[in-house]
Amino acid sequence: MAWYLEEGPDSDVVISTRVRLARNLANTPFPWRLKADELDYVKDKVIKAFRELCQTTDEKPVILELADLGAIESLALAERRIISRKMLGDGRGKALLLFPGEASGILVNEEDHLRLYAVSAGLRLGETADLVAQCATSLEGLLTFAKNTRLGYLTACPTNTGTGMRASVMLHLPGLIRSGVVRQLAGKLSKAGYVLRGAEGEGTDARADMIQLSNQVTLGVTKDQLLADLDRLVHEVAREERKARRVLHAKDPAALEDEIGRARGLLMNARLMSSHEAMNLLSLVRLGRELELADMPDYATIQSLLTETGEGALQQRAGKPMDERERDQVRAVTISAALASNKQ
Amino acid sequence: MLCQDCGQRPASVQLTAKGKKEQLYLCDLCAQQFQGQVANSFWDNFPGSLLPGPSMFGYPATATPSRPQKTSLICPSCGETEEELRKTGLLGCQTCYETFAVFLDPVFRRVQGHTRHLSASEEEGPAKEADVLREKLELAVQSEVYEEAARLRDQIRQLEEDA
Repeated sequence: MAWYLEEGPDSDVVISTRVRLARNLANTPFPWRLKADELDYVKDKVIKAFRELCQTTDEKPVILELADLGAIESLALAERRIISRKMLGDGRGKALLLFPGEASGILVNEEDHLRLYAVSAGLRLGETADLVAQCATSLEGLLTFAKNTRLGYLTACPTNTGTGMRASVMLHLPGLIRSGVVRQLAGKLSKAGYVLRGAEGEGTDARADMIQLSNQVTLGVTKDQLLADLDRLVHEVAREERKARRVLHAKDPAALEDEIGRARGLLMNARLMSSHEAMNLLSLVRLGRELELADMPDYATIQSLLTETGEGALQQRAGKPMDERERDQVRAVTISAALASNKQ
Repeated sequence: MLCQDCGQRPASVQLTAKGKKEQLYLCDLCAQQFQGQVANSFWDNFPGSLLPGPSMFGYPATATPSRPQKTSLICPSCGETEEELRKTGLLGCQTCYETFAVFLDPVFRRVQGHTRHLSASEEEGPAKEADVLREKLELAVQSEVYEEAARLRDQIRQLEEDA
């Protein structure tokens, strides 16, 4: 089962945890300063180390060179947040290396030479960070990274210098967004060195009430301090969100249940469904499930529909490019079929 | 109380950053550097955004440097220029961290709140030799004693290579 279908700790509010470490090879200009053949050199060096690292495992690791992937495949990876949207377009010299299990991997030649990452369902900051740290430590035995004692790991952007760590949690916050509290919260978190941003990363809006919370500071604070702080903050946010949902429901149960019921009805019966509409309706159904209303689909179904009905994923499954109208049609059919087979 | 910036020398000066309520407790050396940046009209006009990106190093909207720029820095290792740094907000290589140190520290101070890495195993011990040199380098650049700055930069590089 894919990691994102699992119901992790606190998954009523925290959808997933992702921790990444930025690393660069010593004495090698950062990717944006490299020409195509130099990017290839870095990529090959990292792939060689990666293969060596995976020698001990029975399962086969995956090596995807972005230049060899079609636009649809790349888009599908970006929709699942495995690669960043920044990596779409010219894939020359860029690669995605996935450790067995696909919950951790390395992006090669994004903003830094290596972006090691690990993901897991629910709130699991400690174990996710440990997993990616282990990968980084093992790799450090095979590659020399750019670092010094004063500044720690050296990265292309000074916002990553130090630990190179960005720990983020994807939160589902319909309660706090509807009550407007999320704005105040963003201010409070930003003072503490944490950022709230839209689900798709920097500069994006909250889609489907999903918001990412991550650390801003990477210098002068140890990884463990930072993770402990973030964990405490996420628990606080989760408590507030649960409260906000209860208040929202108690204020006018019929109105909220009507909205959620209608969302489910549309998802089950619509014949054309845009990605935007699907995300928003699925978010409502998810809220219904979290409020334990009757007839709501199970967690894995909601997660799979949220993750696998994007433009890229649909075309990848169909094995052909489709125009917007075709996609909307296939999306509607996919969703209604999944919900029909999931009646509880 | 230790200086909130270097965390090593005792704090002797209390500062309030422009437009901010929080107070900073700094040692003499860090306070001097901090005030040096604030007093410089270049940094006065610095965009207040904390967002990563070119604006971190961007030119102020009304660029009227208090003194003409004598030199434009270029990284001897990757060739990145000061202009490129301001345009992209990205460093080109690890040597850029030395080359552009004078621009970086204020950015670190503002965006990260710290100018020094703290690894899990590292206690806040006595200042390392390279750190002391780096502080001297920063002062040398600010005072425009470029020969001395170049010498210090080479010395730091040598120390790091040895490490």
